[in-house]
Amino acid sequence: MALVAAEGIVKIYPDGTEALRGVSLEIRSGEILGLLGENGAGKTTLMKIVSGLLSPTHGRIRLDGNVVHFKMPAQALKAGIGMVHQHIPLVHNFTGFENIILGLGRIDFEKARKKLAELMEETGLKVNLDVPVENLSLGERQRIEILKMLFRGVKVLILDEPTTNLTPIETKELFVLLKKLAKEGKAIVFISHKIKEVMSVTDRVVVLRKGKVVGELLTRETTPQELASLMVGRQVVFRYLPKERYPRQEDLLVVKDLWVKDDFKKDAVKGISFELRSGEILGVAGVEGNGQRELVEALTGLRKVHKGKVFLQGEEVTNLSPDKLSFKGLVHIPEDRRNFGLVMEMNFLENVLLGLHRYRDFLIAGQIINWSKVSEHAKELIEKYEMVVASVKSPVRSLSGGNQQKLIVARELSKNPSVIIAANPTRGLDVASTQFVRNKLIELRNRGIGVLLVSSDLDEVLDLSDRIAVIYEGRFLALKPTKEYTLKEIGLLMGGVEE
Amino acid sequence: MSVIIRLLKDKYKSIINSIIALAIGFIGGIFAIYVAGFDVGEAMGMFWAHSIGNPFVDIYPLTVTLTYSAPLMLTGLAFALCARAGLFNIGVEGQLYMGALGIVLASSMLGLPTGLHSLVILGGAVLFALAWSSIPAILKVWRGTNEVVVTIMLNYIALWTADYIIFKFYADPSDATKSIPIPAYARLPLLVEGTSLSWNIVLSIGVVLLVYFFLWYTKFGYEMRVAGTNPTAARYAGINPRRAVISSFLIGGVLAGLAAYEKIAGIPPSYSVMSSMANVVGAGLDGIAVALVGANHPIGIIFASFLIGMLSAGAKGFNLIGIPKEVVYIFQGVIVMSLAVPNIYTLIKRKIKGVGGG
Amino acid sequence: MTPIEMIVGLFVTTLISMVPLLLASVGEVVTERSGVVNIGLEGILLLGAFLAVMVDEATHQPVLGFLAGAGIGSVIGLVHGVISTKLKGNQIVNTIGVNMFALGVVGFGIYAVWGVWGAKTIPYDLKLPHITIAGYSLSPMIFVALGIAIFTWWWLFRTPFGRTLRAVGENPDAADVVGVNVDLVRIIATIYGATLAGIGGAYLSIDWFGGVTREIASGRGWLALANVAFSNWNPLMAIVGSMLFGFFDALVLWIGPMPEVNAIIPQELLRTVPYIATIIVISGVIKRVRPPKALGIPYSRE
Repeated sequence: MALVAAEGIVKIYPDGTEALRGVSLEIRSGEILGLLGENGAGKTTLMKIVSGLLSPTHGRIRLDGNVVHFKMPAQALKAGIGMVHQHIPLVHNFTGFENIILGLGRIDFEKARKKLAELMEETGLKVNLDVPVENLSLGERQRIEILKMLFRGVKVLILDEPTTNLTPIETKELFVLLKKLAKEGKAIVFISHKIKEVMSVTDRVVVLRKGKVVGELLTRETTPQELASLMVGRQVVFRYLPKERYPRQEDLLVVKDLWVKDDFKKDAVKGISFELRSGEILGVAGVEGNGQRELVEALTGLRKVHKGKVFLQGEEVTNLSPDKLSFKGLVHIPEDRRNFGLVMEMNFLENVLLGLHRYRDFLIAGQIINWSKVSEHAKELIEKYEMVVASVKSPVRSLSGGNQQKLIVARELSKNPSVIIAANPTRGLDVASTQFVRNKLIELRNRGIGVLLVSSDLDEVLDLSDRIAVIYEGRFLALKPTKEYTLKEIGLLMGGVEE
Repeated sequence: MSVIIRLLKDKYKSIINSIIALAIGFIGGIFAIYVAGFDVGEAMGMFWAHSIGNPFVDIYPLTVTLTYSAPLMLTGLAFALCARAGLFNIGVEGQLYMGALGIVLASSMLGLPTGLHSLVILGGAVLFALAWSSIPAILKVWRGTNEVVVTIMLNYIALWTADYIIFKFYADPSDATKSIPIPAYARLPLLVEGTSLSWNIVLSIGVVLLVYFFLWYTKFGYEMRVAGTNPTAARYAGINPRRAVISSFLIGGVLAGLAAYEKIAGIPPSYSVMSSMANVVGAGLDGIAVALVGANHPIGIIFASFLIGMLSAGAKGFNLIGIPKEVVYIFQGVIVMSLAVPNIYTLIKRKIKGVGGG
Repeated sequence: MTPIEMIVGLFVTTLISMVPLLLASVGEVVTERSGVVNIGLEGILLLGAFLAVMVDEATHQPVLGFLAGAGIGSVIGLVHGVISTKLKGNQIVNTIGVNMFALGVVGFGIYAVWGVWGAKTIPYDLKLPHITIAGYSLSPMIFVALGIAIFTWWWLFRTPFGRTLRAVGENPDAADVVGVNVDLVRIIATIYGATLAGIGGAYLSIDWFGGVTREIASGRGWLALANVAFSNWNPLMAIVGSMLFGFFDALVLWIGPMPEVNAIIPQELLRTVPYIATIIVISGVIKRVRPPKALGIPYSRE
């Protein structure tokens, strides 16, 4: 009864990232399949391939036994496969009805409305079709999107993290809907990192980890704990520097009841408080999208703090700009190096200067740039951090991801900070660079610097942190020394399950 | 010298893009001339003779080219600076007109010692142009208004306002088609006797190099470049992207004012504004072509202004055999359109490869 | 002249001035609704005017002149459309080029084709014949332009293709996902817009002024752009806007020269009023306007 089969799917992105390393699975009619995994596990990538948005590097997709090759999502939609993404593409000033009939040419409005009314009746899905979509809540917009697909007769409905923006009631209603659709014979794929939800709505679960299938179970035959283990199982072994105890214990960074809003004016950080001490690495574990980005941006001067205060070495620094924070000893290793940490169009030298351009050592009379000093500094950093660069004038775009990240790390650390906020510092790096950066953080920790490590790579957090906080939906669910956690406990907390 | 060699190596793609665009424009213009029934060979000969000729025998054509080029360097730079910040400042024309107005108003002031008066005249040009360029800047930052339409509107407003004020109140009593001239002591001295080439060219190259130094060697210039290229990274480094917006417009205004000064104080024989702003009109528009051909880089702009200057000078030769000098805009228009396509060089390479591969 | 005669005369002049503005604005509304910016309207007006005179003279058929204007508009529209979509070119830069090119062609062409410098006039009988209503001679194009505006409104807001076109300008991803060919729709919209501007240009030369000069467009292309924003990208509102701008035009032509008015505002400065008004309008000081979300951004999937 396999409606859609993925066979040996391999996906390697142009920059070398291996997103999928040979994944095979079946999507069956009348069943809700859960696709569970952490960030970077490959769940979304796999379904994007099934729904025609991406092409696999190797492997095949079969629909009803026949091999299909979708060049664009519209083709998959015509064939009956529809994907509801996290960012829903609707025309914001059209009504729901207009969005649903978009692209279908000349159709009979009355007939369409009747069909929609029937669909809404059958499935219990209720939503106002005649209001501009921008005035609908995100949950309502999702319902329009689902209706849009049902209207076109999809047989396979894929939902990517659908409960992200739903209220608890809407989530319940969604589950009721999905179960009804499955009963009618549709095939549903439910992509999520939330273990509790997967347990409550799916029939079968496939767990992905780092691009491979690590488990396939019937939901009724498994437990949250088992799923958690599969999700976060440990793999590569790195060789790390030993951690030494730093003698003086003082609070470097104190955060009190922090509230931060996201780009849509909703609360992303909901009352987080903690202290970062000297000589420690405090890791923040959690699946992306739970408020980490807003937390990091608020602490590094890139986003307004809505409520609460931040203190750096006793001095209040709430809402200070990034360069002032730098002067006071707080540096930021950003997770998006291409947009935040570097100016890709400029060369190595000019990027070394970024953020350092107001430091007196590099300026003559405070205004003119002393490029020879910058060059000296750049060469020092290249040596110290073992970077591979053709020349200091090479465009930074030509550097490997690892060397780009080393540039950022080197530059920020040369400010002699007392606090480092590192967000996903080893994302997309090769093994050698990863080890290098991680050891650097340990080295600095040993010297008394406080590191806040926010990472969606759980291995990294576990290996490096002295204490770990687990973030879920804008709050720290737990904050205690690493050794006091069990692996299962962290997995559950990351999935939102508090015991 | 090594700077230029390094620049050539890094930017060879941009240079080739510009050369391709120039070639396409050239073909387009020649085609128009041919279709209209003129003798292409004769036209080309006249073009060359009047734009460069043989400098060792007669330097006059070259000086004509350079006289056109000088203000173009400044207007081109004004556009390029804003382009680097992601803005389209089409308002350089209007800023030129206002600069001219400032010059005429200042020239009419009496009772000032000559040295001071010269400075006041220069200051008048810059101040008026600067004020005019601040309007789109303020609107952009305050209201998010699109600078394209605003600057074009301001161009027309400036044209009619300046023309009206100058010729209603400050016309030359002996010749109503000209404004009152700039006093002799405020004029730029000639570089080559018997020609119209003054120290304009020196001033322009100097200013361009100054801006180049500013952008690449000062803290503020660096911040402007970063903010214009990647505003997110700028914020990360503590730079305020809005300052870059306002700064580029303001500096553009200053450059336009200087260009107006060159056009009037640096070009004999009248040293005044002609009716309908005829001797000022077009320098802003041509500046856009210069900036594009020069790939928005100060050094590129120096070369590009020479080429576009050649166009205007050579067009005089066209005129002598009956080809209207407006044909220049056919050349320029096609050049600009070709440069609208990003990386035309890469595109053509790919097409050729595709055909070859089958 | 009695006050009533003056008012009616003003109204008639307004209608006359409205035509090229309305055509160009309505066309650009369609183009921008699909997400493409075309600031080359001024140039297309020029080219349309020029070609219309050429063809009218050669064939003695004003209607063919209008077709020629439409034709050159379509060609420019096609070029701009392809450059803006397939080649991902910079739409603003490209249309600056169009304007330059048009300036060159017309300035060069007037001499090259007819051997006169600056202005080429056509005899009265080569102009489009007018109809007479209540003793006033009106061009049929007034009604054609109004009709086109209304048709365009219906096309954009009451047909499936119009819906698709608007979707492409607001959220091309949404359109792409349901199988719409975003680039093709944009090219069609751009051709439509430029064609109308070409017709507007033809009107200027073989209907209104009876000749062509380098300055015949006289900034109307830019006012049309402003009108697009002023009308909030709605063809029906564009009628109101172009009448407003046409009214200012009429004021300048009619009332400007009158000595009583001149004492207060010099005629030359009166011309600046519509432009100042435009700046005020698009700065949203009076009301907030809402452009299509994807305007000016070339589309690429994911």
